Amino acid sequence: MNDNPIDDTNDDVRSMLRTRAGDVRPSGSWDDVAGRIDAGRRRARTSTRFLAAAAVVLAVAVPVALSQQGDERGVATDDGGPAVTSPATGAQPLNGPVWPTSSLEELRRLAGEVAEGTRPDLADPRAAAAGFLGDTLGKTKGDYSVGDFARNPDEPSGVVTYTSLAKTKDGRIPPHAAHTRAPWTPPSRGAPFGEVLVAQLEGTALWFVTGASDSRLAVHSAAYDGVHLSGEAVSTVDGTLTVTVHAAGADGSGLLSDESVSVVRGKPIDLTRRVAGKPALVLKLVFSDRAGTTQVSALRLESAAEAPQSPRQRADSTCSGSTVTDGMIENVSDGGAPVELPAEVSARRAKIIELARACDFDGLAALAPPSGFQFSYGADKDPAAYWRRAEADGEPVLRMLALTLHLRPVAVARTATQDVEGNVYGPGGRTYVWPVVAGTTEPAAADWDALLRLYGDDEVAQWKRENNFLGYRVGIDDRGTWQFFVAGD
Amino acid sequence: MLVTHAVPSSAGLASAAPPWPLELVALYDDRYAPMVRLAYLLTGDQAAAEELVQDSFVALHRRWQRITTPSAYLRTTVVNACRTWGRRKVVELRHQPRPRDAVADAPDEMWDVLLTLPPRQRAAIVLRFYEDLPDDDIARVLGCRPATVRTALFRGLAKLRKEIER
Repeated sequence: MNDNPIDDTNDDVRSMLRTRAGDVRPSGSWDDVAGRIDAGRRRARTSTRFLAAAAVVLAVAVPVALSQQGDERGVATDDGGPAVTSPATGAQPLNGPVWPTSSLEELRRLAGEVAEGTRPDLADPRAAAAGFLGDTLGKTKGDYSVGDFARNPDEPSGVVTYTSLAKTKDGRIPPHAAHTRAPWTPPSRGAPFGEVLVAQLEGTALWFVTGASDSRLAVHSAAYDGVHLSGEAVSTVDGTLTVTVHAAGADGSGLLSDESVSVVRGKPIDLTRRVAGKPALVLKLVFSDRAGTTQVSALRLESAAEAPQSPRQRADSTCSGSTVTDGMIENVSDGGAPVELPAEVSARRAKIIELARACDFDGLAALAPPSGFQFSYGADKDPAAYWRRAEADGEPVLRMLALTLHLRPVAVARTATQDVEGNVYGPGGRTYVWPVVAGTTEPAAADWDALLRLYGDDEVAQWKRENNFLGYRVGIDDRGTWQFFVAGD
Repeated sequence: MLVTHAVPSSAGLASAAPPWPLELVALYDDRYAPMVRLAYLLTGDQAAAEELVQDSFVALHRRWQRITTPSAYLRTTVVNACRTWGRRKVVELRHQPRPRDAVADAPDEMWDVLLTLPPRQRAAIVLRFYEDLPDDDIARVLGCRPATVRTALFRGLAKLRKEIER
């Protein structure tokens, strides 16, 4: 029998593949692709009722800060929707009042009216939420049902849930009972529901609205040449979130890939995205596997093109490394005792993280030794070019680099080489490898579990089952020399 | 020079019909079905295959002006999209019980095992035995060295045989 499995099996494999492929009857037409392209082009411009409404919600509910750079710019739907500009003072305080007014002075005046009994609609959190829904969403009483008010235990604030009574796409009306706050029960898929965040003005009976969320969230802006969106939202469900950052240029360019993000209830979702040189941007969050809400805690939309940049700099301003936030790092780090690293290793690690988060491809490449640095299993010569290409193809290389270095490393003995005359080359020593599973042949269960903070459950389970880690690994030797950053087998 | 024309759209876009490069539409006509079949072999899911191939054409359109070999670019994009999809997707077939008395060369068993292979090994096998690509071309598609392709092929086929003979 031939020991080479290729010889034994290839005819069967070829036959099987062709049989399988022959059974496939592809459906679809160019119109499907054209529609996707066109949808991308028009997404920022199309004034669906939802987008318009969501833009209104966010324009009102989300603290939006626009950098004041000479010309004051607005956030608006580009179909003539409402324009909102930031106050001259810049960013509004988190959880500041957004309805019935953002002015504290005006709120105090209204509180007087509440005390006099002339504004009962502001004396009750549910009534305040209803007023907000009517004023900002244009909803009538037949459009929604205000649900329960869940008061925070330690402060005069809370959440009012509401359910839209408008039919969903599939014609179902979501059950109101599904939208209780505690214990959390995810609503049916696609259910249009939301939450209104309310607070009570200190020392008064007046309730005001500080924010709102919906099962989907969209920020719609126009007339930006370069946008830097930053902020965080807090997920109220576990699941997968699809983040769409769409920046449509006049030529239809700029449709960025949807990004699937695993979210954990109560954990922040990073919303930082940079899009350079595009006149419009839409950020849309859709829970792909179940409906849910996001509570935007802070969101800033500002011009990114403060100073002229070279084409290379502009291109590099869009990179996954810039999406790494302190919250993400906190999630990835295990919280255990810090690993003692030699000073040279620690310094090189910090520099790599800094450059990765700054999308400085060339700076990173400059840290790599001129020979012996492994960044690809292919024939690539230039790590910066390789990373740029991978990022352009949607692989978040620099984000993975920055986050991998926040997992725990393992020190691996580096053997010196000895020639036939007994000359020893290389000092031996150690190489620090991130993550642990990449540096040991028998990783512990906890080492595999650590990967769950960076990779998907199924992916990690497969690697663990096959004891074959295929993710990103980074190596820095004890002299501070960056040895490798590579993924795969 | 690229020529563009307007393609009537069933999605009601005709009134503002955007121009599509003629060559792109021709490439779609020529390569869509083969790419779906390729993607199906890489994913085991026809719906996902069609989605991924359509996404790949969207990506192709985005970079159309800069691409010199669209067909090769398309194939690489499809394969990479499928590998990314495969890394994230639960391969439910892996957990399905193996039928008793499985015949070593029965197509279904071999197919099930193929779907459990790591994405690179599966891609290498499909590109070799379905697309009939040589090692160097597979290496270019997968972004690895030809030696790595040979290793992936050897390991993948060894697993196929081992699993089937078990």
